Amino acid sequence: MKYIIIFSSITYALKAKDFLLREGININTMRTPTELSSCGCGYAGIVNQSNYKRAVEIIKRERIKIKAAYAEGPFGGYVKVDY
Amino acid sequence: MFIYFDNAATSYPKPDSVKKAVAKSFVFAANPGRGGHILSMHAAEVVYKCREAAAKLFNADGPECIVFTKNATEALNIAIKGLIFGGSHIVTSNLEHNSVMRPIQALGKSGVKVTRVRVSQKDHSKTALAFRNAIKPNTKLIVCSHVSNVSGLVLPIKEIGKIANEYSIPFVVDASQSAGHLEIDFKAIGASCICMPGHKGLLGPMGTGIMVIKSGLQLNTIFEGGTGTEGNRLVQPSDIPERYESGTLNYPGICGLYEGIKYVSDNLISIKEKESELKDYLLDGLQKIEGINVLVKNRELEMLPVVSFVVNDADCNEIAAALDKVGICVRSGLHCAPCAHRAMSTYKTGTVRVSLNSFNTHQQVYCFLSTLENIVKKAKKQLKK
Repeated sequence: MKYIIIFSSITYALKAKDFLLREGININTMRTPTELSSCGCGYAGIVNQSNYKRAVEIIKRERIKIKAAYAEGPFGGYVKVDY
Repeated sequence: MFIYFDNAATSYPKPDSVKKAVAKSFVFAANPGRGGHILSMHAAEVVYKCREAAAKLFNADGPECIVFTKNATEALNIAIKGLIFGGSHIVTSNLEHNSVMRPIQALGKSGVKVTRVRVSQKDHSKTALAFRNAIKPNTKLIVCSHVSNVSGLVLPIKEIGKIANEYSIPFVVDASQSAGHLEIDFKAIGASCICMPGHKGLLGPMGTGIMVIKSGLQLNTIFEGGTGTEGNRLVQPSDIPERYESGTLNYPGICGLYEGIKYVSDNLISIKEKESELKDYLLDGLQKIEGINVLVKNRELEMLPVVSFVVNDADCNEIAAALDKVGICVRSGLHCAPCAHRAMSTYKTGTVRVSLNSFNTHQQVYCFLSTLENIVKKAKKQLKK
């Protein structure tokens, strides 16, 4: 299962990517899917379920603001998750 | 013969890596921070890497604290006008460039007052004390150059920063002549913003500049627009750096600037050493030429290789033109710093300014000195006739 972490800007998405890659966590950055974007733009990172908790810890440690986080639903769509 | 001694205006030549990066930027890139496609994301990654490299070089709070501008002037306008409101007071030095003085002058229309502090050419403690004494209860900003673009004098910005922080007054530094030439430690200086061009000491292309901003500091914006963030709202976003970067970035320029910053980061110690040697050689040589009057002769305080001089009874523009005829590029006039020239009593005459960088050589300085000596001798003879 994939988890989507939404950031306030491309700069913060890439900053998160930078710190996660340094700690061996793979993350793919992309435009936030429309159904998850309240603002019509913005960037997000996708991580595997197994890395999600650690990824959030690192992102918080680096004081990078998370706007929201979602998990892919079992039957499609997204489910809001805690971060 | 071709000798370029106008590096205080823009550096020349640029490293090959800078030229290649600019050319490559047209091959594989689209608007950074806008699309989600491969070209846009690639461009965004390069822009981020440049922020990261700049943040490391200047010890900023983070890559997001690097704001790209078109030059130092734009950065200074964003910082000064973003911090100041009507009825307040600004302290600055008497050596400032118009990129500081004109924004301050414009703010005067809304009742902002300014005190110009006299910079001592010999004693930093006198300069620092003068800044302290100029502070009033309504002082809302201290802004000053790191290095004079007329005389090359390095100002005591750490001491001034300490005073600013003691009084909780925002402190803006114009690092136009120091970035890429001296170590600049944002946190140690205690600055609110440090503004600099990308195309001078940082060796990037013209049309690039940087404002390093303190994390958590929010300035009023002087222009607004699309940022690629919070697109559903009509209010300018608060997140940095996008808050101050409305509109499409100068991506080709940033690609070149990134390479320039990498070059400087890898070579700063040798750049400093080489420039210091060249400056000493130049100053020694100039002082031996009869009829030349160098603005700042003493070497008690740190100076960068930005040296201004006047030639007795000769027009500085004519001296610069005579040098240009034989392939030596220098600048003459007021160098957009009339206040500095008033302070140094050269407002009426202007000066010839020679500004070196680490790509210059002792041989070039030697050629310049002997050519200048001949030009000065000829000028004297013509005057006698």
